[in-house]
Amino acid sequence: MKKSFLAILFSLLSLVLLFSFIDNGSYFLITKQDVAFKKLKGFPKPLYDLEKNKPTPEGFMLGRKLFYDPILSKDNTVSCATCHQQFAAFAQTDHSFSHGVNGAFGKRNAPALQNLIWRDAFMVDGGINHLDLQPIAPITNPLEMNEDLASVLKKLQQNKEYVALFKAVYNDSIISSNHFLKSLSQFLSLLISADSRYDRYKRGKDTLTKSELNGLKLFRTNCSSCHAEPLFTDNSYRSNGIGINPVIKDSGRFLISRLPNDLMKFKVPSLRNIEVSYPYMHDGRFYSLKQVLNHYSKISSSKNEVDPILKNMPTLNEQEQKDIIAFLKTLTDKAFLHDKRFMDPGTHVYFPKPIMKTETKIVPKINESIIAKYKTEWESVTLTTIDGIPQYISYMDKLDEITQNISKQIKNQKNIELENLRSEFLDSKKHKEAIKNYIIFGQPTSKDEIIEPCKQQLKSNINDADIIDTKLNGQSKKGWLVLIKYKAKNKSGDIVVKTTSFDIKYNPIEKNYVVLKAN
Amino acid sequence: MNTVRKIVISSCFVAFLALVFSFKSSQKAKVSIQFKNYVGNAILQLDSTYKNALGQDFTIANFKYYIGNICLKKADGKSYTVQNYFLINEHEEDSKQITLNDIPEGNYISIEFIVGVDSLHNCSGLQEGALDPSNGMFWAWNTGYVFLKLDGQAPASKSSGNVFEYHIGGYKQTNNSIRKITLSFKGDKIVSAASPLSLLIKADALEVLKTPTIIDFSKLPSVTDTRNAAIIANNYVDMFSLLEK
Repeated sequence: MKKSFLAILFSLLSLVLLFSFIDNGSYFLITKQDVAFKKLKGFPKPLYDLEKNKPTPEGFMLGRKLFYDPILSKDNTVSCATCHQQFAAFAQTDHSFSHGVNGAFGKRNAPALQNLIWRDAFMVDGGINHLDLQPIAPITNPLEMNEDLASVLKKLQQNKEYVALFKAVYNDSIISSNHFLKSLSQFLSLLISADSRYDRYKRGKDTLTKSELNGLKLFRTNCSSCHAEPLFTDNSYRSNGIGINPVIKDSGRFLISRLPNDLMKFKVPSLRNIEVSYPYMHDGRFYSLKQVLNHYSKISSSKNEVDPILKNMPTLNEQEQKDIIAFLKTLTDKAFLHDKRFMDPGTHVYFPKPIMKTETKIVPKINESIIAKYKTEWESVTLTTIDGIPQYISYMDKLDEITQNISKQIKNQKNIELENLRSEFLDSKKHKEAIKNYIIFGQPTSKDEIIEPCKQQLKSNINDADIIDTKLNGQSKKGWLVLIKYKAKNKSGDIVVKTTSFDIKYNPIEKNYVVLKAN
Repeated sequence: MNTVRKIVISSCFVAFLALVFSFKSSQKAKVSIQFKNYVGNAILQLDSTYKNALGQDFTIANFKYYIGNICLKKADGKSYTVQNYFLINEHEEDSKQITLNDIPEGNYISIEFIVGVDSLHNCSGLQEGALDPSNGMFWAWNTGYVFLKLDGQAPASKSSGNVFEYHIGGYKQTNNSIRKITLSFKGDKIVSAASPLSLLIKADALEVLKTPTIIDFSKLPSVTDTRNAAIIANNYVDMFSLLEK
């Protein structure tokens, strides 16, 4: 009797445990707004023509899936993300060189992937002249993924899921190198870091400490002629006196141009997110910013080839070095490093799988009555609340279920139409209205991750809010109260100090947190 | 109001002219070009052993090249250019046959084309068709197309497996391997819709290995980037000739 009771209890517990791991993936869902490129103040015009390959939610999600999928490598073990990790600004933390297939060892430090649409050339030697062509290099490099482009396309073509996804995005069941590479570019082009403390300081939304400000001043005098703001690179090739690495013997730009003048010149890297993308230099020889600054401090006495611009570099004292490092750390863009759009989506597929068809026929549009029915059903779904907490995931589940049903009903018809409908509904007023007052996030790992969404919500409601102070009360598993003190103009135009509180409730059913409407 | 009327009238006139000219030039002819790969005077056989100018034995495993900017010249000085690229691959019989439709009728005297891919197509991102990077004629690490590949084995080569490999490319001014070929017809060719033009072009792989520079497999078994590419590029200038059908 006791035993069977225990057995039942155990199975119930395992069921609960099982369900707690089920995630329908709506966390990874991408909307039209997510892929919209917003012009950034102070940034130049992108060099990559986004109009020629405009990211769509589905194209971006496909590119993201490919980026995280080891299917791109010879033995299906290495993905792009293996050596390009989000928390390291898509460089690889703590690795001078990264590992490829069969234990191969690369010959260059994996660079950060950010603000690629402003790059005129790729690789430290600038050998690659277009973002769309860049992924072919690591895919085919024997020390990295060691695969053949034609063979990758063949593998993808044999994978039913990919065929369906490519069909949904490009309305073509034949996976071409063009569509494959353009999808990757849709993901890569949106890896934009422009919201560091430095950026917010420039926009007047944040302040820098005395040391950071002094660092910025020193930086502008000594570093910014190569690491030009706001991209922190001038896209040039220069020799910085580190001398040839005796093992890999990389001579840099010379390998591409074959001009003796280019020996040991390397592309000036961006310094954005430099704090998290160590080790440094093309061969990852320096593990700390201190080592880097020490090198530049002694550069006037270097025996190696040095760019003329570096010859007058002064010797920086201890405090000056500290200040520069403090400033460089303000280039860390937490919003970018934690941006959920760029996270590994795992096995989630977000748009209904279209029906597999090999022959292409001209198919009629979806029947109007089906659209109407779909619309009514979709609009009847409401975001329910339990104890005042909105059940967001089950809301999204219901929407997905309706889409799945309709997908079954209209099989043999153009699924691309359905995709359009679905994104149309997700963009609809009704849907936006439903989720307007809530911010939902998973399991926060830092204080900032809790406060940041509240700040964003405040700013979206009060455009000119100048945040003075934030406070966090409460504890995990129950929720928190975030207090934000800010300055803003009132109706009569006077600047007044106000405090807004955000109530964050833990949702025990969906195991996430919801920011309820601000008071 | 007056100017609007003027614009309408003049655009009608332009449209009418365009219509007239389109009717006038609607007589189009077909030109078919067949490439036939040779080694000296013998048709290339992938399993046969040949000798280079130094008497070194070799066999060919792979012979591919890009043909582009085909231009047909008329006796009256006018010419007609086709913008497409074609990848001629010894392993694919179909690739050796090029058919050009919509060639204006006329009296033609020569054909011109380039071996290679012009800088525009090397610098403007993804290309499709013959220029699809998955065709294996593409340098991933130093963006650019390989214009010509000649791979094989020669006992004289000291590379592992006695292989030789000549992968020739480079579109930049300092290392330009694009070569323009002009082949003149024996007498004028009158081309019309009723009498299409059919050309047979011999491509001699042996010429890749000689004139002006004789390639010694023991000294230069491999050219796989822009270094030394010009030597081979200068050699392939004279690898094409017209065969009478």
